[in-house]
Amino acid sequence: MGMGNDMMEAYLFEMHSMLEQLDDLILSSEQAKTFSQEAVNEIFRIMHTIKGSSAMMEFNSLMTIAHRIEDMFFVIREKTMDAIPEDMRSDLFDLIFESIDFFRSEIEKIESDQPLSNDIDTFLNKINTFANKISGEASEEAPAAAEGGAPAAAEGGTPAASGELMAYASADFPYGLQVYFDEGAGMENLRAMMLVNAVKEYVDESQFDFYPADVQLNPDTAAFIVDNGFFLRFKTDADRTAADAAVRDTGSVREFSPFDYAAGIAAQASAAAAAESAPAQQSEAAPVQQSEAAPAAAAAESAPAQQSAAAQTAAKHQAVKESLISVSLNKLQALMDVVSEIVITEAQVTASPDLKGLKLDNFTKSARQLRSLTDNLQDVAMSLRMVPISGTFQKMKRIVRDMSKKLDRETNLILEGENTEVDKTIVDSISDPIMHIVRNSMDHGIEERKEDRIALGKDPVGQIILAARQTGSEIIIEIIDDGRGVNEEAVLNKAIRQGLAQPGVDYSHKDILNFLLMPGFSTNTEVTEYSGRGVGMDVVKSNVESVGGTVTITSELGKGMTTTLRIPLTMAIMDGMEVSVGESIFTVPIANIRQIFKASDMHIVQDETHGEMIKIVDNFYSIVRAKGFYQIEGGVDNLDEGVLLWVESGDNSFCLFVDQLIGEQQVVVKILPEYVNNFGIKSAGISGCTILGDGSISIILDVANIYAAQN
Amino acid sequence: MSEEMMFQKDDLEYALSDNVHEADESKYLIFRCGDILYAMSTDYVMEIFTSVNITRVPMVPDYVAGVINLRGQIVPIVDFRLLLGRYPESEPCAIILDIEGTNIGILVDTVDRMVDISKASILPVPPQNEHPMVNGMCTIPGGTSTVMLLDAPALIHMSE
Repeated sequence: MGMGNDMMEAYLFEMHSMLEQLDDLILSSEQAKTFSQEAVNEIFRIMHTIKGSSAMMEFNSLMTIAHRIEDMFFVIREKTMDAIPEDMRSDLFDLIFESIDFFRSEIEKIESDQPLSNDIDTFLNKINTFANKISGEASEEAPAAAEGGAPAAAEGGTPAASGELMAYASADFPYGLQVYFDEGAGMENLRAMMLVNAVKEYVDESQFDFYPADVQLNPDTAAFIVDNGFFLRFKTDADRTAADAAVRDTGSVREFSPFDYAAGIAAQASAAAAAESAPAQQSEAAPVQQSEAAPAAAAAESAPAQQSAAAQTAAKHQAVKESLISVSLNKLQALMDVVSEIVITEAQVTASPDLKGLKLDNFTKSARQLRSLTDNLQDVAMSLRMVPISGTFQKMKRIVRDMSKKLDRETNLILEGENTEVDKTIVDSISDPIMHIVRNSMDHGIEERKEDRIALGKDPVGQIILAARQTGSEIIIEIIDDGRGVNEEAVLNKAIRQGLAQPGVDYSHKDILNFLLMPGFSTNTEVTEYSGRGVGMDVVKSNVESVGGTVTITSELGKGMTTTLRIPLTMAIMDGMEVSVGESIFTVPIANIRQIFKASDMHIVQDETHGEMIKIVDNFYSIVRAKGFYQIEGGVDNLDEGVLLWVESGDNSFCLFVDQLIGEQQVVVKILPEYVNNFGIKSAGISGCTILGDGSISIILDVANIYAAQN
Repeated sequence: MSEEMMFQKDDLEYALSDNVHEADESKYLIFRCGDILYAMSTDYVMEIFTSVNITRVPMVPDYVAGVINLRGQIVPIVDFRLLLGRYPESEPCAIILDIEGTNIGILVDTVDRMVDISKASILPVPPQNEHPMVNGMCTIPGGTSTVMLLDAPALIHMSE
């Protein structure tokens, strides 16, 4: 990021959350096939904020587009959606989605420090054309309110604001422009006069007037302009538009917004109640505050039932927002680090060898208290990093929507367990895999033609279920589609062609489905816009594995496919079993341990390549000797002298042989330095390390990768 | 960890500030591996330990001795003697370096002393004697011994 400052971070955070909100709003509106007035207001408000903050950050492309859409929604708000014929609505939805995508791509550019798009004219024209069409349609149906069709911005239509502005509107010059100068600019009256002179270059003097009229002579008007703004009033809308340029080019103009005399009267009546109840807010100069104050004020007042209900939800929204703060992940990480150190230090102090043999009742009591407090502290600190997975899930709605439309395969996305909470870092790293799987389901899973689905006795509308649930230490995410399912024969043939499988070997269903997850495998020879861009499910697999998770696929031909991601809830702290092998100490995640037992050499069964196995209950499991696997000097060789850990990760299970158990401990996971990781030790089952109570380091083993490396 | 800090970065900087008058001269730390003397710019040196508790990491090349816990931070340690193809002769000293923000420690036989070396006195290594870690050599001022100048950044880029 170029400007790594707080303002930039705040801006990006705000943009991301607003765009998500927009996505949601428009997706649900699209389902209802119309925008509720509430939704229109919300979109208007969001566009206004985007415009404002982008202007502040000097991101012109974002500002311009947001401004245009804001204008368009101003019209829609005035006319309501009834004025927009059904056949134009789907275009409207597409247009808004397109603009959301535009914002996103610009934001991405900002984040990656690339220059913003200069060439936004095509898109701008598209919006303008559409906006004009709306105004046109609207004026035919509601000629009385035609003036509102002007590209108006900001405050003109806000009920409370119009009431206020009416005092400065003029029937002879109905098209007004309210201008605010930079805060603390000084000599506002003279600046206003310069502005009038600038406007004169564009608009004939007889075609407009201004208020206060005596700015040139009366210095006291400066104070009025600071509080209320300076008002330019034009005879025709065209002149006002022409004057836009003059206002824009004049220095120290903070913001300006059009208002209409006629529209003002219409809005005045409806705003009266709210206006009376909140005179204080009305005098606020900042338009954003005003538009927010309006619904809040209305909520306090017993306004008409519908309006107050809507306003109350808005107020509730606000309350929820205010109880949340956003904190940079770095700060949280710093907190976690300190907490981890405290936990370790606490153990060092209370278990200090200096205390051996001493009988310290009070100390022991206090130490116990300290222990429970540090445990609490750790839990709270951990919970700070947890976020609901709904954000990631919501994004998929959009993808399914776009692809349904493009591929003409009507499909419903059903979300389950959106409120499941996951560590923030994990959410970030599984978002792409989930997206990839959903795209795959849309592209290769759901049948191309409705007739095919009907013939199979399925609902003509396809279905993808995205479900999350939590079990003990894992979160399980399932992506279930009711499409074609995996054609195992085709997969096997492809795998043989790719050299992944041997011809003539009998593979189980599971083995065949696993080919899908192997690098370089992609069943579709055709590259489409959505999937098959050279990355396949193997990327999904490696992404999920990088956060300690596993991927499994199940499928039934003709019925659909289920992809299951199992991911540890958090990677920061976990329960581990400390074991020793020779001089080395390793940590095995408790979550992976099924059983710990002793066995003797005579229980070992050997295979033809001297691989060792052992029978537990009704199955044989291979034995991995940590000593041999990691080439550790020292350590025991006889099974009787050591201990076996029966471990499991996903569907893979085996026995790990170590010297002895040291004990169970909650450990803080630290990643190993990049220098060491570069040697590919992750694929040898070394996922990180942790600092033990005595300050020594224990290597954390990753069961899944040991299994993979062993085979 | 039993540690004996011989000096810290603050002290080094203090020492450096005494020598501002010689602009092209900079401080180098001299240490010994086997019978060869090496020098590394003190800009990189954070700490020196005469004894460290190293945790071995499996599945890495021999010359990676393991990792240590440096006040809660995990720092990799490279046995410099093995990296240069020598057999470790004695209990090592560990020099903890900060190279472009990456912390890494190296094990050497003994730490010798600090000297000022002027840029002009640094000579290229003959092509036949080149080593990827060495980017120059020079004769210690006033002395008869010769040191090889180590290219610290090459150390961290080696594993990439």
